[in-house]
Amino acid sequence: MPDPLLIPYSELGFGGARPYLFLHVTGLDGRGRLIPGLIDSGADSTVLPAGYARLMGYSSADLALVEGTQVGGSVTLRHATRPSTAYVPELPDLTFDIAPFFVHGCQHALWGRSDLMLHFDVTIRERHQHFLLTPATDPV
Amino acid sequence: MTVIHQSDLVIREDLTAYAGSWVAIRDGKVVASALDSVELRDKPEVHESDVLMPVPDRTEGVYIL
Repeated sequence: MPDPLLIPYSELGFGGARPYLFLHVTGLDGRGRLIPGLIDSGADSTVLPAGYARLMGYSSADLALVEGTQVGGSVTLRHATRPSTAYVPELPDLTFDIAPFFVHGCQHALWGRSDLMLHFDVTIRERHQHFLLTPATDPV
Repeated sequence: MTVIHQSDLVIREDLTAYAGSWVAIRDGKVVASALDSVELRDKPEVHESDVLMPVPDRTEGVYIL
């Protein structure tokens, strides 16, 4: 089993050390970019602020309107029907697909379960203010 | 166990002044800001390798996302 990466909690310049992870994401436009996001086991999938959609080359033809539920109630999401690809910058050989949900009013990228966490086991160690990312090599 | 700090990606500037905007980050510092992500990307001072991200309009308090 590969060694896990131990990533200390960090701040993004507006206070509060949290389990942020930068992912390198390549959108439909073929351009790669780094996106900081929160590790979020409560998110079924990747959630991105709506402003990322056009940055990543998504148009309305590539997005399906779906209803979702967040802590404050229901929300309309735009689900990518064509995936982008992502990798952890320190592990560029481990690329995986992400099909983000874009949300107006969302101000944080959230790395949820059905993409990042299918490819990495994530261990939150709150007392130590860090998390572990272990590349998943075992078949499900 | 490998300790990864993603240190070259650390944001070294207080972003609270940009609350509600999008910012372009290079070497940990803001190089440009705009209210819209595409407007920001298209600014001449923004490089393709810059990190583009929104700054929450409320940056304090407890997060329950």
